[in-house]
Amino acid sequence: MRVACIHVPQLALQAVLRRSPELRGTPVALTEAPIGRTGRAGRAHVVMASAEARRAGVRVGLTAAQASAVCPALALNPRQAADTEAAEAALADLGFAFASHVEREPGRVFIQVDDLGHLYPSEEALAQVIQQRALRMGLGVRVAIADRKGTARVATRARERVVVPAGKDAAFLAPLALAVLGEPLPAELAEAFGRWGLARVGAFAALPGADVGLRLGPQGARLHRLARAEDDEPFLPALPADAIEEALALDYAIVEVEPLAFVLRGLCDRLLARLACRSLACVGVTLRLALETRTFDVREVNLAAPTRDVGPLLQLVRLELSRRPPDAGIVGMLVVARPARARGAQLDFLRPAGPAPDRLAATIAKLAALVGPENVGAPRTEDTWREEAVGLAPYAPPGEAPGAAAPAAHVMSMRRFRPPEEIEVMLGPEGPAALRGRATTARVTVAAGPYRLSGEWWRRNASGEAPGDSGFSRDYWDVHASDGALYRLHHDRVGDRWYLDGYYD
Amino acid sequence: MGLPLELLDEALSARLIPASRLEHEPRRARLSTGVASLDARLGGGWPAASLAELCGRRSAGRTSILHATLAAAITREQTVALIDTAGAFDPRTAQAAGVTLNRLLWIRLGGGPHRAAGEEARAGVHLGLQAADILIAAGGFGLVVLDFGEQVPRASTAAWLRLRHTAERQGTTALVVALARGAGAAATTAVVLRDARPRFVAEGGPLLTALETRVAVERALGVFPAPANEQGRDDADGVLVRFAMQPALRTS
Repeated sequence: MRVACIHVPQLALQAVLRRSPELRGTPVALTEAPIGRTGRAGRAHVVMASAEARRAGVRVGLTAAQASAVCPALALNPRQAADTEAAEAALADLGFAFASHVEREPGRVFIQVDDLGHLYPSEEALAQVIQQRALRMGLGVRVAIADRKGTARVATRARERVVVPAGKDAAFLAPLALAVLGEPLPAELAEAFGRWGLARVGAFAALPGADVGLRLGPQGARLHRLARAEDDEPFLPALPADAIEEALALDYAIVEVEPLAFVLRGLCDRLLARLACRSLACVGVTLRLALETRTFDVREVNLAAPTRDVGPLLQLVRLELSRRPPDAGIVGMLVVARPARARGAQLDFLRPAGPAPDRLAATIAKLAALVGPENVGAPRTEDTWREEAVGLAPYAPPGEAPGAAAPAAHVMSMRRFRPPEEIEVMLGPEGPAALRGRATTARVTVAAGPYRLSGEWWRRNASGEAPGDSGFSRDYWDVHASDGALYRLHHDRVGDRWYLDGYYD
Repeated sequence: MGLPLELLDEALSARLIPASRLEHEPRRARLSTGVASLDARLGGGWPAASLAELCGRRSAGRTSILHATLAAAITREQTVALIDTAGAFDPRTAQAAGVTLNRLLWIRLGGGPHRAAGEEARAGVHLGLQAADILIAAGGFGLVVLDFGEQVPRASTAAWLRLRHTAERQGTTALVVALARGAGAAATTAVVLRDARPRFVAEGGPLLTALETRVAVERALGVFPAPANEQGRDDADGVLVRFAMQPALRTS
């Protein structure tokens, strides 16, 4: 079995850089404040530092004040569990981008790569692609491919990228320093190795196994098997997590929508990159905003179709927040993506090529963001006799909707006023003789009608007694007016009012 | 010594094409309007991958032609979208005209029945063009209709040219429906409806039976005059088209 180990060194620090990519290349340190016996946080000290910070003299263990004094340009970031968890999840998604079976452990994942030979010219090329993909996700990873999990794990501690040839695990390990066998090596074992004058893995592997077990115990025996590339650690793959989420805690409260959208963009970008790793798209997100008042504001944002385009998703989120701004400042947020399979496009010899499903979804989302989601869709006639009733259904592109009917003969169509415009009507002996509305004033030259329509009388009104206002009864007229238009209007017999429904056109 | 020009002309007259009749552009595929007589006038229908205009006042028959076009495009499995700036689309009559509703992407930009003025009108036109740009740029749409209702779409020439070029690039027919022409030279085809007349019959009382309208092609790049067709009476002013009343609207 060939196994690849993907390791993220300094995961917590990389998680911060993934969240704030603008900090890359600058001195950055991660701080942690230990909780004392009284339950109060102690003085924050540096637990991790970037290479730039280390070059400037920042060391692990310095207090935040000392580190800032050593390097004034140092960016100090408190360690956040949310960042680390998101980076761990992103690392797992990176694994799922290449294999269906992924084993997770803190800071690294293992994947089986036996059957990837058809896709990549060599294992070296595969390792390179994994690193490139990880960089796109904001993670700098080390990759090692070997016959055994243990060897691959040890190899990531020693090299940035390495492919151990099949059957050569022991030969690869032999020249390495003994320290790479552990993370870190247990103190008593390190001391014993020092006493015995052992420095290289090969020298340790050459010792007789039974004697090593006798002197160093089970832990030493396990390390010895690892050094001889005889470890039998099983590969234990886990299922991918159902929910793909990214969280962020803010240092200060955000009240305005625009700065919030700016922060959300990073979260959405990372979510979609993770979904893309698993060949999935996003069909909506759940937004959980932590407010200053220690309450939560939860929103659902749905997309018309799965997409991997961050623009429309962000526009919809911004629209949702603008419509109903949160009650208080936002101090943290969690975005959970609802994954869905991206629709594949199947071209047809007999039909014209329509829009690609993901582009159509992104387009509908953009339009929804532009004019409101309630204004985009397929028109639908409602189950009522009210002529003006109209509904919207989700739009189905040609490949999915039932077949189209043959066009009818030339029939007269209508253009509606929504809502119907209330007008004044002067009545003559044969019906309407003149009409006057906000933008329409005309004499009636011909009036055809009335056509009576009534319905919904069976629906009770709010008090539950008589049919009342819930029903309708109307007399419709088709009138040719002196302005040349052919109007359709009705008399509401319940309210004794006249309305202009629209005109034939 | 050459032949007299008259003789040359006579000898080759059958094979000569005057410069005025030369095609300025390669022949385009056509998208049926759904009205045979208008198709004949336009050389097969609306030109594909271009910008076309359909104009007329209230009750001139624009909506009937629009619905016929939508129905024809949907029947040919085209992906079709309607940008409805006035929110005036009527699904019932559209369905009766043959439009399969769930195949139509309907984008409502407003619900006002009246002619907006000033800034409001300009904003509506701008929003409509923006929506059209998004739709056409996505690619794959056979027909995108921009229905400005009773507006005259006032926009810069650059905006119209941009719309036309996007339509050409993506192979989409962009059809602008409005009160009067607004795209000017950017439109490759312009159809104007005029002299519409309703037809009533006296059956006890007057009964609306049809709407007759005269369709004139004001601009059609790359189209030669089409012969008269069987359905309408062709004359110098255009072709007469008759749209029948839908019985479903007379309910008692």
